[in-house]
Amino acid sequence: MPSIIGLPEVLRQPMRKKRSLMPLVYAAVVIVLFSSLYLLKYLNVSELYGKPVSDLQPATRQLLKDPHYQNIILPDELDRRIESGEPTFVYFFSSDCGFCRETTPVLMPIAEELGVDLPQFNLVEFKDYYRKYNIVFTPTLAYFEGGKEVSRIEGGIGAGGHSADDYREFLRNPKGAAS
Amino acid sequence: MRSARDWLLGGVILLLAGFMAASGCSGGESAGGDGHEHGVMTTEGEWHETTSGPDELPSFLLRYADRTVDLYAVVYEHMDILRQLNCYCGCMDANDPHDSLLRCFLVDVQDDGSITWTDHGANCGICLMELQDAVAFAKQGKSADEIRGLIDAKYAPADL
Repeated sequence: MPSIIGLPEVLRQPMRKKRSLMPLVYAAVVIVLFSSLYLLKYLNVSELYGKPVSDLQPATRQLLKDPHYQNIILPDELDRRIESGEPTFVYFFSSDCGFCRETTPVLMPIAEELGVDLPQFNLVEFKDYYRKYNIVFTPTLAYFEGGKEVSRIEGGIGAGGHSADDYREFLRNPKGAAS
Repeated sequence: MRSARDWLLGGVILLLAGFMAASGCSGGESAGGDGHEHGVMTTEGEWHETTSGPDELPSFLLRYADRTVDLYAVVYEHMDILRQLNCYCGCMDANDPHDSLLRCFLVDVQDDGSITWTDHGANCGICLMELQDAVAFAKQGKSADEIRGLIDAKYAPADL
């Protein structure tokens, strides 16, 4: 039998001085610490955005509890909603855009008053969607029907932008107000 | 002959390296998107990217609309005007590095001609609107002072 040469070596093993288990314990502790650091991040996932709060932009983190920013729509759902062909408005904003911050608290109550469901898409968290939906000037309020954009109103409420009434008119009659 | 313990320690080291690589990757991804961009994320959440010069636009623009790219493309040639304009995006508040409309798009031009860009302007509707207007005014032959007056009249909040 060829293994007979190896056999004595295996038998000799228990005779060695017993090695300390401490290095293994240290290693285990380090592994547990590292993995918990990694997992901690996923304990604090934003329900609104479906990703860890630590992955969100600082400006977005500030808005998480803001009552005017609770109708957030995420990329997949946005695509589905538009592709479904049903008429829908989408408010494209960026959480770090000052103009948007002035506009949202005025616009959302108007939408509510008119009974319009106005999903809010935060472009700064999903930047590829700037190009995908050709958004240049945030905020942009767009109206989609039949899977494509019908009209939009660019720029916010305030200096250099539009009035609250312009937005009200757009929400009432998006096809007539095409710009 | 290697003992089981040696193999285990090797495994631990590999695992730690894996963790580091994983966290490094996810960091780059959240900042740069597809992981192929070269730049840094500032504490303000701005993405800064350096290119060889005005003819090479930053790769973060690949994610933005054509109109946005066109506007970035004319920033460099209008630098002297943009430097004198106010930005009304709320970014010029105290303790902020933004000191002009220019800074919303371009951070710095180095001695060797390379340019550091920021994606702030691309995410900022009013910055792009001001830039669009300023460039249009410049094309009409207006002076920097005239342009500043026109921009202030249009964009400055009424209560200032």
